[in-house]
Amino acid sequence: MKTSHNAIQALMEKYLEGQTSLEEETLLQRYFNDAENPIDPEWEWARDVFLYAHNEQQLKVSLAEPSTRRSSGISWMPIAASFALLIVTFFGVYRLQEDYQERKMQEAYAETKKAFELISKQFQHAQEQVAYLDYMGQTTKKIFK
Amino acid sequence: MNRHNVIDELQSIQSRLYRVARRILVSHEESQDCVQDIMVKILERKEIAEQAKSIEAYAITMVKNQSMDRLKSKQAGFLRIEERLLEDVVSAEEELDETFSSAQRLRKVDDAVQHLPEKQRLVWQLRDVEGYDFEEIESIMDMNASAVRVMLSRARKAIRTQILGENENES
Repeated sequence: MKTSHNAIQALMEKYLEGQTSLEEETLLQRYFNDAENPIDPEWEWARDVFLYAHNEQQLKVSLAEPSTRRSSGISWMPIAASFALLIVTFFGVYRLQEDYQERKMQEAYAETKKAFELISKQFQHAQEQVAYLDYMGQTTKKIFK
Repeated sequence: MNRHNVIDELQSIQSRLYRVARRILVSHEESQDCVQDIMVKILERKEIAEQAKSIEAYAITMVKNQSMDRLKSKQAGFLRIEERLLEDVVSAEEELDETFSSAQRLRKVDDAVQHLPEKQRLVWQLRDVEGYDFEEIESIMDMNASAVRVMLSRARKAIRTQILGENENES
């Protein structure tokens, strides 16, 4: 494709004013990126700019897919997580119950101990009383002998 | 449009989103991060995305807004430029002798583009690299038609001046 120097001149003027259409810009880009075309020294800067733009268009990245589950088949993570949660909950409840029972037993033990202590105290008291009575008895015997 | 279509469309324009972000943010990591963030946001609010006339324009607008915000919020812009210079030195060294001058010239264009104020840079990127029509650029940039053309014209002329100015200094 032959594009005359004058045509390029006119297009470049429009280009610099921001008045070119996308089609005209494609034409310019093709013209400047074609190594066959002898580029006027006046337009060397433009060739560089269009080449640069062309290279930029080729710049590609491949980003990791955004971390939203794209459901290809069954995803096992939620299932595994549910199981883990279930097991943890089960053991938790089990342990809680064990703790509760142990606490209950300890409480019962403490209560019983308290009761026994009370009885033993009362018993000691009674013994003292009995010892006193015994002493009284002996004294009485001595007096009335 | 269901979720899969949204994902597919985002996948197909991810390079474009990345290029626009990078035009502003310069750093590869940060641009990547920005685009991924936008993609997740769009998928989370996909009802809005589905209502948008085009997911692409919607996504590009979000990328543009977020990269401008990021640029403003971090005043580490200085650091980024240094990072970029380092990258350029490395890539320049990798060039073969015969292509060296061509690589140098392209770097000059790159410097000239990066030298533009952010909005001009974006408009230039959207038009001269991404090839958007003026209506699309107006809506992405939230500017009217004549403002877009003026900005584009300024950008193109400034790039020319910058390149020619540097040439004159060298010779």
